[in-house]
Amino acid sequence: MITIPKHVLDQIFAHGEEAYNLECCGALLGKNDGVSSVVEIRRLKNINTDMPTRRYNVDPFELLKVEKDAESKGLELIGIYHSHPDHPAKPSKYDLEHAFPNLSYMVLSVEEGKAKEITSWRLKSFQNREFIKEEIKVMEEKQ
Amino acid sequence: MNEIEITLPTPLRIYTNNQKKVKIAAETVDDALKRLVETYPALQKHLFQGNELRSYVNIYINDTDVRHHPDGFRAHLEPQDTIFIIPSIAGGLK
Repeated sequence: MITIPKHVLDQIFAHGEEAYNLECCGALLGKNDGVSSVVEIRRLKNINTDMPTRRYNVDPFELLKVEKDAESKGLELIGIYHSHPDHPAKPSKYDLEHAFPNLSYMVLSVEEGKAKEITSWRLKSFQNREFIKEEIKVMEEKQ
Repeated sequence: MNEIEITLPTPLRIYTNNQKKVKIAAETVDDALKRLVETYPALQKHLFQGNELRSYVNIYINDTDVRHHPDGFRAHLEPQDTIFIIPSIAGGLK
């Protein structure tokens, strides 16, 4: 299971809609004390210039900076989110091929510019390349 | 020999007893990586394919991509240097 505050989930949805019809991507920053808990996200630039509507690539130097910043706040990289414009919120074969274990991969479907559904997945292991769906528990916040 | 710090990415920490940072005595980047996998052998196949660094592995000396450093993997390390191992993150539709 992965937990995420409602307002942070809303930020992912907003990112997917703003980026439409390109794929957006970002870092899930938080803590992993048995249960993964997203505290905040950081938008990352999709540096894929060949097929940005169908692929995303993260600049490793940007990721390095994000990780350093997260560490200064007592957080760490616990996952990555990205959008699938006009496609289901399910990881593709390409997602599977490029996934790493011990990270959560959130996939957001954006249909005709409107964010619809988000799911989260974890790779079993480097050797056993199979995604396991994990529950997203949205933490409602008091006003 | 200088003792420098290596920061591991989340996916590889299971191979360093869940340590995020490890200290390694090394003179160069190449030396540091060799000593890292000697200390934590399970990392070998995830960092290297044969003698070559895997394409999805990025090595930074502080803020510099080692592939862009004039001395590359032979770059000399100072005690205050940190090596960061950063995976290439990618994905998308079929």
